[in-house]
Amino acid sequence: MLSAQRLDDNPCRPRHFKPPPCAPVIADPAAVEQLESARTRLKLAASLFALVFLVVIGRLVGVVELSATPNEPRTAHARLVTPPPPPRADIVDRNGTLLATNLDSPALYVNSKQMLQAGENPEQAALQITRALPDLSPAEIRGKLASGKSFSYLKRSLTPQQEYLVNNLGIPGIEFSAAEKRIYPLGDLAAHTVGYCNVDNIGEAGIERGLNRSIRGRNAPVMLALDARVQFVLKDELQHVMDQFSAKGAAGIIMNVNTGEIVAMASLPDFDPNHPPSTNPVTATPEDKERVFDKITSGEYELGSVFKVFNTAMALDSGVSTMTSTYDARSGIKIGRFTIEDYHGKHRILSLPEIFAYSSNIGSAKMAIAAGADRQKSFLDRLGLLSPVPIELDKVEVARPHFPSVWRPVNVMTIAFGHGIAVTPLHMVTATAAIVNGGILRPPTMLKVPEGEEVPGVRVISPKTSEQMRKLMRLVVEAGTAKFAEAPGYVVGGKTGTAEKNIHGHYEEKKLVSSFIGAFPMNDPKYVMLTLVDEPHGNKESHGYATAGWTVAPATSRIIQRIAPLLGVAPQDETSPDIKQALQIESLVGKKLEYN
Amino acid sequence: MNRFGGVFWFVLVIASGMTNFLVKQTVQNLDEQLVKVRHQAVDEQRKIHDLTADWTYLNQPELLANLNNTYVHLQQVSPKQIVSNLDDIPLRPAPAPSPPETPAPLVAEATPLPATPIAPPLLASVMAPGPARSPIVPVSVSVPAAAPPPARERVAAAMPAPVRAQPPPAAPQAAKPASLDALFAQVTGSR
Repeated sequence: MLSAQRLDDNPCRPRHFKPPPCAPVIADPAAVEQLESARTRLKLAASLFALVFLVVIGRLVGVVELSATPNEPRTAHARLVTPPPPPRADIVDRNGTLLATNLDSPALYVNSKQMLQAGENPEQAALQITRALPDLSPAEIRGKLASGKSFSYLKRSLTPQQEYLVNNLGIPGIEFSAAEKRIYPLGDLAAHTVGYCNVDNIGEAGIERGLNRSIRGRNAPVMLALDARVQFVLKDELQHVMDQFSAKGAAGIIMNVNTGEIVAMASLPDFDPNHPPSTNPVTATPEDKERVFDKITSGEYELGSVFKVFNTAMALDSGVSTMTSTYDARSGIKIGRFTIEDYHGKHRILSLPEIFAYSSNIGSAKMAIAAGADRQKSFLDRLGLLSPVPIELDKVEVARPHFPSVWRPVNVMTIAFGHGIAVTPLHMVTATAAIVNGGILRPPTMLKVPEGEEVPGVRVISPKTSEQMRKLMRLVVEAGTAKFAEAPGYVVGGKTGTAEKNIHGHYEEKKLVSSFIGAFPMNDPKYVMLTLVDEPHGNKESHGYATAGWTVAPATSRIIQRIAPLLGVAPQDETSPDIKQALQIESLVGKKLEYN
Repeated sequence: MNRFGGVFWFVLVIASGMTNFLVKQTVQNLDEQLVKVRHQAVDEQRKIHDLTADWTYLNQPELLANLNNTYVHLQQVSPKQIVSNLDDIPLRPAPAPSPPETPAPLVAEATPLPATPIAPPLLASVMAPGPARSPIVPVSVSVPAAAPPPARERVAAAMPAPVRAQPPPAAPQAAKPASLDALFAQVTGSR
């Protein structure tokens, strides 16, 4: 008989057999312990997993629902497609017209190996390519196509049109490699202002050079103060003057008197920045150098009588002279071997407005002597005429003015009428803007000043002196040397200057620099402009004269009439009592000035 | 109970798996489309950029000036042609008198204000759809004024707006300029 115990242990026992409930379960203490610890481990692992899942859930909820920036798009940023940033930012004028931009101009090359493998006939392919690009030589192309090399350039800098044509041929093995080219769609229009780049996309001149670093590092276009339309008018008229008087060169600059923005700036002869002339000191021809040279910022000129603007302002502002002061201009001033003479001598005692209107050298020299050397020098320094003009150009392109190191009385006298000191036209315009705008000197800028923004400046003369100077400059056009500068409706004022060129220390009588500094409208000046013509020759129409009054003054009139509507300067009736009164010189009321 | 639970979870797993797959597929498709569209946009931008350069090149002031000199012959605007103040614009001069085509009934119909004497031809010219008014003639100074300006102003004030706004048919006396040149000659001549 088997005991109950043994029966239970029998693996072959019937399935339905259950041991009697009374059978005691022997607890093996070791097994129980093992079982317990396994259960604890299981619990621990389960809770760990639960925790991890909880964290994942929490994180999910946090990311999806409780995002800190709810407006941020939840798309992956890696999916954004952006065009590659241009190697150089565009340059645009004040109205957004493109002045400089980059165009894709891929290079064309051939993988001859691949081409021959594809079973293409090099003869035929060369024919097709030269038909699309007629400037390539068929023989050379055929050679390259049949060479079996895996890379040889066929042509660099393709235009989009050419790329399209060649791509359309669908010849295997003909490939493009991406490249960009800097182009100047308006050509030579603003050559000196915009400048140009070399093949490595580094600015070589103008703004391209001056702002090279910031142009390279940005996407948004650089907006210049320049107005392409005004620039065209200025250039057109300067070219006209140059042709008319068979001059060597011409230059002009137009500046906003209240912001210092340079609206137009031209120097002739100029160049096409798409094909800049050679600047290599060895290979460059004198003609090339002349073209690249910017007369406005790099050219220094003894500008002559236009300097009387500053001389007169200095005398009036310092209180040395008043509008009624008179000076003896009956005979020339002898200093050493020189004699200071008047071009159109009146040989009488002249009042200050007369000296200015007739452009008397004698009177101006006497005015300067009365003021003294120190006062003259510090005044010119204050106007910025003794240091390079601060502007967004490379230092190399901005000339440092030339003036005597020791300010002797003879220098004082010659500087009074603009000899013995050489400044750039940019200096001249910047300082004159301060003279007419109420007396605030502002640095010139080639970049657009946002509408309505105040440009900080330094006061250099009193508002009263500025007003007197405006009247005097108007007088020159009304009754003085610059009658041809009058533009009906625009109340032009200014000062002419005809200077003999100083070549190697002596003045050449036949080589003149004629210039006119003008502003309009004189009752509330908005723009100041300087026009300059280098070595003009008199002609029949000018009765043989090559002076400023006959050359650049009429050009100024034409320019103002053409640009004023573009610049939003409204024409006025200059005969209206308001304007008459605003520009009337009290001491001259009832007198009649006659300049011949 | 247990069997039902198992089926429930199985269906749920399959359904959620399917949904997941479908949503993912849709998103992927959309994403591909998005990238494609963005590529297209960049491409278009490039094209626009190239065309802008082309446009600027073709619009060089020098080129336009030459084209003008060859074809259009536009003249420079003279300061006299520029009016900077609204008050400086003269009032429109009275239009030419029209043949009086029974103006009386029109007056009676349209305006119940015959107390003030109004010149009949003038009123007719305002009201009648006849050949009295033209868009060009009133600007021209050469047309004789039919009535004193005060009366005209009064009429203008009294007239209901819709009537005045009706454009009259083309006037026979203002011949259409044969060419653009002729038009400019006409416009500049009348100033």
